[in-house]
Amino acid sequence: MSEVYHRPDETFYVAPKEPPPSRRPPALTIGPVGWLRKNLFSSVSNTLITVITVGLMAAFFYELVTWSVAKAEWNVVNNTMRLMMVGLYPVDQIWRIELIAILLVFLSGLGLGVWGGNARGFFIIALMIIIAALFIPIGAEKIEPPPIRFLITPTDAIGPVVFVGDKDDTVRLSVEPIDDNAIANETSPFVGFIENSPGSSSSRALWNNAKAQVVAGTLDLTNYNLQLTVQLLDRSGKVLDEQLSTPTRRRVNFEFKLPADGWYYVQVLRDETSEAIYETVDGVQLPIAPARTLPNTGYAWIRIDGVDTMSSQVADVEQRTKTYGEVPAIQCPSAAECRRLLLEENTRFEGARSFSAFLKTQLDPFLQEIIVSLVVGFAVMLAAYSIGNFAKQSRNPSSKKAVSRVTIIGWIIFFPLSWILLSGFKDPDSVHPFLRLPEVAQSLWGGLILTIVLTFVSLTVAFPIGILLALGRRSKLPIISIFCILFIEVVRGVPLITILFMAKFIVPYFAKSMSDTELLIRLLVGLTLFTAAYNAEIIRGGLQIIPKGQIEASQALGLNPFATNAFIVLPQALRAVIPAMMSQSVSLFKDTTLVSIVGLFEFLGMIELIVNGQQIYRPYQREAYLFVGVIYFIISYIMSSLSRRLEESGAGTVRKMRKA
Amino acid sequence: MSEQSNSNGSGYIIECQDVNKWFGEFHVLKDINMKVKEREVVVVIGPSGSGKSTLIRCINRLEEHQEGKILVDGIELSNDLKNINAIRRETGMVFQSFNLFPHLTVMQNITLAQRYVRRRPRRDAEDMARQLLQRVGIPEQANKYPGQLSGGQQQRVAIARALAMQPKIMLFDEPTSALDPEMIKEVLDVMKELARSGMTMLVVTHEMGFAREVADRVIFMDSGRIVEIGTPEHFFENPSHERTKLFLSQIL
Repeated sequence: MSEVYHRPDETFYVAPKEPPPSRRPPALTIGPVGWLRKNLFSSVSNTLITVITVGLMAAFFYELVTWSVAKAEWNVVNNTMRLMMVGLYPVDQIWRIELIAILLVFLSGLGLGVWGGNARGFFIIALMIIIAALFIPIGAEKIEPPPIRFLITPTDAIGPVVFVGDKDDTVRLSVEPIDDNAIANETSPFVGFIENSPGSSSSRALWNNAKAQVVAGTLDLTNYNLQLTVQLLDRSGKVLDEQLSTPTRRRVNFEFKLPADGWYYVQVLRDETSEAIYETVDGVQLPIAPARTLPNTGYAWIRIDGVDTMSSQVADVEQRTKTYGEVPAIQCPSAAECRRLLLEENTRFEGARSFSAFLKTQLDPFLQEIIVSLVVGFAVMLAAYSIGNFAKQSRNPSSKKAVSRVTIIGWIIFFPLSWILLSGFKDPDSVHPFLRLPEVAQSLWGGLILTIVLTFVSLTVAFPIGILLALGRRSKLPIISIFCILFIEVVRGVPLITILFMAKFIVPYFAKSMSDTELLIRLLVGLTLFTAAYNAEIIRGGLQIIPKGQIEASQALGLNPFATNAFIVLPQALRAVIPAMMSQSVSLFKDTTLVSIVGLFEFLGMIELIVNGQQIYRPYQREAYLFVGVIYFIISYIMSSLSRRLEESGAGTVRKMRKA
Repeated sequence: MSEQSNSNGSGYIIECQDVNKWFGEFHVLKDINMKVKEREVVVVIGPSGSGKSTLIRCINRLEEHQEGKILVDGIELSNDLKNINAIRRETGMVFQSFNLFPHLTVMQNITLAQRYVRRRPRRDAEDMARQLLQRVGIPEQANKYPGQLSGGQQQRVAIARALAMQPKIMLFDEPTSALDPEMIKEVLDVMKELARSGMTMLVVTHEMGFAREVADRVIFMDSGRIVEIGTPEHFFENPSHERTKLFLSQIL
């Protein structure tokens, strides 16, 4: 008992010479266990909240994921990807957008390499590559149309399937009898299934119905006795070729070479009362189809390969009408059948899809589209990162300086360069042959690329205007400050959509010279002014937190007002308002959806056009809107992550200031 | 006019003639008349609210006076921006709350104005900064941010920053009031060294020890007017005015 550290019973106390040795904290209060106890299960109510919240989240995500895997039909995304991404941007010019995407990935990788980055930096770039990859496959070769199948049953009439074909195209028609009950449990018959004929009832509905009957035991598919004739006709209704499928000779395959460009259609006739059919082989007449004695029973797929049927793409449809004329009006087997509509519940897949079926029928087609561009994107990023990192670790400091200078210059020219690449030149012959880019009218821009253009152009232009307005509002000259206050308050007091309507309708009325300006430019001006007004107020908030002493110190050193603002006030004020500015930017990114109301089809507007305007996609709204939501979220996340990185990096960050 | 041109030759580097100033209706400076010679150290003391800070802030135009005349190095302070900038180049100022630029390193704090106002090349500016940091005793802090320094160190950086412009006059506005007692001495030592080197200094302070040791003259202000001007010996040992006596009896 030579060293006693605490003797509370004594009035006077002198601590021993040496302080007591440090001990570890109690085990239950540190580490992951300690974290859980402290943060999630500290009390009964806290535990309850944790359990309920986690339960709700789990339930929501379970529903979402199982629906996405087992029920959703994602092919709508795949089939309309080009429209959603670039709108009507000409297919043969999409490489320009690809070039911009590659440049973006390259510059990001270079910056990450030379300035260093954490895991989140890589994650952000990976997300950027995924978004960029969505632009790339759509410019590639035209997707091979999937084979068309439609179901034929003993009772339901089948309308004609219309398609276009060029001279010497080969069309293959085949009958695939369904004479095995086990098929009813397979989902694969729906791969590449397309409904397109004006009068046909929904094959999917019929098939779902048949499946249900098989499961219930009221239908036996092995009881096959279907006799039908498959006919290929031209637009005038002249039969070009036909083949008969009989109960004994079920599988029929035949090819036909089209005689000319134009519309054709396939039609199936069920033969219920035919005579026996004979074929002459080596001079002997052999019956290949006996006279029918049994009732028509059984189901079969009619499959058509090598044709181009419907198109969801407006440009394609226009092109097609130009080349082949209008779609022929084809006589339906009966008027009632022509009136049938494809109802949502009829065309959707029913029942649970297995995970392997999801991979095969949903994910795989999508991945096949984007895998090449994903690989290219990551390769470009890694190459750029290696260059940057090599320069950073090089013993020669000037090489780091050179690479970081190249990166900065690259970013500065990136935006104007992208604009030039996107729009091309009005008179391509007047520029250097290397740059001879034909003009792409801005009215053709659409989809996600338009959203991105709207967002980033108005953000970059609004930023300096916002600074000027904020400084102007604080100006000592009353005329300037009144003008700025008036501008800011008027713009902030008006809904964005009103500004967009003004840009569309009122500006050309007052300023005749503006009426020829592209709508996109006018809307960009509107968005820019709107953002500038909000930015000005945010920046003014930042200016107000700069202590007066900073300005006085700067004045006392002899810096003029311009230098005081440029070197002292703005760097501090802007850094302080990065979070607010970024939330304004993300909000602008989402507000660009409003331009679809005044006639530009950006990402959301394009989706609406697709799923509401095209009957075949109407059943798939859920998938399409979910996809839109995910893409908006990813891009917003990229933006806010970048802003957090900006906050944490650079000289004299907020963190360093707080350490004082 | 002839008086103005003579003022430089007369050896007075700061002259205030009948200076009056109001904040709104409030009359802060009343008929201030005062002169400071070159290489002189003048300490301004007085109770808070007496207008002493306002007075030295008027001298480099951080505050604007409404009546009277202020001449600095023969240049009259007017609304002419050229004059104001010329005077600000001649006067360095050190603030109570340091007012270092938190987003710039110590080195950048000291070199910014040199490069932008004096148009000095980067290398020269940095040499000057290193020299001055040596002089104020913190050469090793050049690449830190102000937030990473103690109060005393920050104030010494602020002095170095003002000196980097090679001013003829240094104005100190309560330079030690915001400091912990342990740090006051390091700042005062720098100021004493500066005074010994012959810098013209106008110091608003509550450090009576400093005033007694370093000042050539002491100005006592109360409610906006100058009450008494004298040598430190006279002022502290044998003050003339009743108000001065009262003030000294309260603080000593």
